[in-house]
Amino acid sequence: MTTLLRDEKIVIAARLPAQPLRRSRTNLVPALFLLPAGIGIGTFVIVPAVLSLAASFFSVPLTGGAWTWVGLANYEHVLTDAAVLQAIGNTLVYSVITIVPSLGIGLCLALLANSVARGRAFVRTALFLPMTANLVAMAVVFRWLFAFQGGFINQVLGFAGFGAVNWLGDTSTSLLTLAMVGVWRSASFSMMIFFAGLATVPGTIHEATRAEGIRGWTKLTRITLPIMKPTVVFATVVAVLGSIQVFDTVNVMTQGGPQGASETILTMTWKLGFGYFDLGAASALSFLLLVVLVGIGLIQRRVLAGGHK
Amino acid sequence: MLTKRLSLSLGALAAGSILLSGCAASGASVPAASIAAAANIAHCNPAENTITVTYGQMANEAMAIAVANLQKTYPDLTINATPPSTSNYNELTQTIVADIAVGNRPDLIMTGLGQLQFWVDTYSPSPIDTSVLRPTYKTQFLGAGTVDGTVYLATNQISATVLLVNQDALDSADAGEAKDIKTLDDLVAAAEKVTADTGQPSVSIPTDGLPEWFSQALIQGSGETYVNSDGTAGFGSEKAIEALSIWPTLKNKNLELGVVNNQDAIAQFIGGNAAFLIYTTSTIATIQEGIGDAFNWMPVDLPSVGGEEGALPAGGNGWIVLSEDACRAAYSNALIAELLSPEAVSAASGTSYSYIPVDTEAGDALLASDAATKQLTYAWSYDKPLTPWGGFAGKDTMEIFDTVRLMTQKLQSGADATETVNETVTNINQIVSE
Amino acid sequence: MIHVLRAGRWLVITLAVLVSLFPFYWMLRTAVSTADEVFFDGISLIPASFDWSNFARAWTEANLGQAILIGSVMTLSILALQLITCIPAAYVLAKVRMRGKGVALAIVIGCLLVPGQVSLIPIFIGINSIGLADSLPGLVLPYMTSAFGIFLLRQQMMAIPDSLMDAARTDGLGHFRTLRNVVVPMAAPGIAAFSVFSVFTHWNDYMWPLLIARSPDLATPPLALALFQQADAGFDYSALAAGAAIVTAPVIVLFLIAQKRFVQGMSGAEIPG
Repeated sequence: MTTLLRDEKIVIAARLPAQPLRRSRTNLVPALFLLPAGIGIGTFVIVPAVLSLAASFFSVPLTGGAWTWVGLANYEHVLTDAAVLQAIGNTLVYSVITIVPSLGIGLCLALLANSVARGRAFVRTALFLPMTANLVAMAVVFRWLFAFQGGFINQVLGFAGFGAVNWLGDTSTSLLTLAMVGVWRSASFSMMIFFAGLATVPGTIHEATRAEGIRGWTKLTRITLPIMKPTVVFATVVAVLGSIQVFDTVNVMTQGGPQGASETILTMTWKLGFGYFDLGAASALSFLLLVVLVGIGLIQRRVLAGGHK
Repeated sequence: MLTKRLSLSLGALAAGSILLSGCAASGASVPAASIAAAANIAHCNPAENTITVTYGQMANEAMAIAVANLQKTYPDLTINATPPSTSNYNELTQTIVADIAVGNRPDLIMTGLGQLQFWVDTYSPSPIDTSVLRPTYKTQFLGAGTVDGTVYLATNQISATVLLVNQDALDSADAGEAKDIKTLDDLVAAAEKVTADTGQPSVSIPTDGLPEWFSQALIQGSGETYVNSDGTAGFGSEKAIEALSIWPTLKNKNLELGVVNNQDAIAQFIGGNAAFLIYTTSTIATIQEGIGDAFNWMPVDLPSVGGEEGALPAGGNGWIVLSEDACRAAYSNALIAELLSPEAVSAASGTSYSYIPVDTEAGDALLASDAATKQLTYAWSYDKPLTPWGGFAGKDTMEIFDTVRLMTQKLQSGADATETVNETVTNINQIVSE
Repeated sequence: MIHVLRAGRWLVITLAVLVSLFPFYWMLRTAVSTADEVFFDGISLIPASFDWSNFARAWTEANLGQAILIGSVMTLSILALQLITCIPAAYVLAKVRMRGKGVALAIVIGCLLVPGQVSLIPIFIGINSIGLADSLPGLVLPYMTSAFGIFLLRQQMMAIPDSLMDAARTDGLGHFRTLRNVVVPMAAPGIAAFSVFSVFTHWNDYMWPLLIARSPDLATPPLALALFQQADAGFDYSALAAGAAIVTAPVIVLFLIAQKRFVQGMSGAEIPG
């Protein structure tokens, strides 16, 4: 197909019915719109990421001296380290047990909060609060709630006849406990996203479905969710990214212990970089993480895209 | 035609390489490990010098006094002393390392004693000029700041590992006197009685914040070696393993609380749930404040395998001079002298933190004051010799810390002592040999 | 049947609200407890004795007034910059057809995948080299734009019916006026949501301020709180909880205010006709 001359394109455009997208005569204004964000992203995300990637092939000395090329040695070191492999495993487990519950609970809560008439504002506010929690401050609160001796949760369990559980100090439960706190926070966040998404469903749709007698589960899966598709995609992306990149909760509550049972990829990266000051290895691990995330992102688009972008 | 994507990628790469080469270039221009021995301070002009100090919040009061006094002697000298908002020594080290990496190398830093080897091996600090220290300074504690015969660290606020005992709990269980607990077996026996009385575990030895310090204390206290002179792990001996087996022994008899986190363990002691807590002398002041009059308690020497009284490692912090300029090193040493004066030491070792006073005058003043309770007196009159903390090669400090911490957490959950300790020794030796 | 469902629904909501609020309640409870009330046996929901001095102690010892001021200036500056950079970019990515848009979008999504900790060290070196260490701009600049914001706003904007866009075009509105008169009002709930998210995230940020903000005057709220957590010396638990409560309060207040806009924006999102 031959490329049309610009004039011919304009003539054709004028004759055709309204196009779905705004076509720009020049790319100038849109480009200007993109520029500030572009500068921000370029300087503060892309360049550092590229530098980190580059650093992963070197041995980076602390005193600011010259970098020595080591090829794939950092990657080898990182992938054969038992502690790193444990961290990777932990992250996978953590993601699996947090993503689905937080999305599911978030959606349910959004639907419920949307459906109540009285006290809606209060309920909404209450359910949004966990998202705002300052983890440095809350960490102590959670450590007490989950304390082995005298913690509130164990007191309640004792009351109900169960034995006390060493939530944060036992290798088999520390990750689970972190996941509970993680779900507490991210369900709140998912709820907010779904809530905003529900608002975009026009009232006319609700009326139409009510008139047709479609309610409940059918309505949810056949009507509401498909209309909210961008929201659902967005909430999923956020949930997945948030759980794989978990850092704050672990850092303040267990520091990866005990015995590395709650070490995750990012806390391990942090430990390599700022604990052992092995910046090359830390960069290698974070690059590997990036590759995995990109992979997941691509898979997600394949599965969920269908029709949208 | 250059697509947008390609041009973007090239741009990023270009920027990246420029910064990269900048890194390499700046590296080449940094002078190789220059050890600036402090010049004779009389040859230096204060007006031309600025010294930068980075330290932790615990030295705020002492620093204020010291800076004021130094400014009186050298009014033209500029002193920049701001503490970052870090909450532990590791974070403090991280921020200082980050600063040095961007070219802001402070002249005087505070460091946890456990990181001494790291600083010495990586940054070649300037030796401390011990002649400027006050005559009342307790030079016996300088041993904790000495590497290969040279003093690199002036010990500032120090502490020793200690066993805290709830005497009321012992009385209620008819378990004798706290001061009679000399061996680890004594501790187990007393704990058994208290647990029989209360029905709950009674001992807490947390394994999160200071596990290798506790381990080193248990090992050295029993007369064994933690680090061999060749840098390998020395605690594979039978007696060292016996010392470390206190954890699984307590666990297997259901006597240990299983609390990993330091602060939670302290909370349990203050709340009366744990009758025995192994911790530091520096926390005696805050624990005292927390307990108030609730129950009768006291600190006693850390028990050992057979009642031996081996030297424990010193905990706490000290000052290191990192200056690369001889005059600034001299002024830094002068500031250290002020920081270790009786006045400043009183403020540093006083009632908010109960560090062992490193100055005899300050120590005497504190002991004679009204604040000298029975518990604080133990901290303020601690006079036994203390060894350096750690001693493994600087570059492996953190990794070995994590390895030992892993060992103690395994022991705390009941793993077999011989197997776990031997495995750890092997791991450490492997790390050190890389 | 309907009554059972309705009751069941209320039960679930009540449970969810309790679970959400409980940790906050516990924080407040500790904040008003006396020192020896902090640790106790048994289930006690209200402390036996109240100690209100914890708040005063936290305020003065951690210099919370200054921290809240810095926190406010910093988060609002960051938000302003982010809105200025993200809204136009999201608009272009959502509604404007131009060459290379696919690439730009891919880059934005790619940025979402880069964990913050990875960029920390190079950015630290960079900020130091231009002399902005230990300064407010140093705290603010690295966050001048947010890939997350662009992504979120784009999703919102994509939901705007194209008929509106066409109406704007036939009315002769250029990009800028379209953005201002049509797109922004329609995307208001998303903008409000993002603003809320941005404020919380940066108010609670610990790692970057720890590296950059050194002077006590520049301490952000989490840094100020960290003052109570001296590993070597022990804890003032009640003051810590009191400080945490003080630091969390402004954010909640802001949230309540923003919520009204939220609701307004959403009811205004009803498409007429």
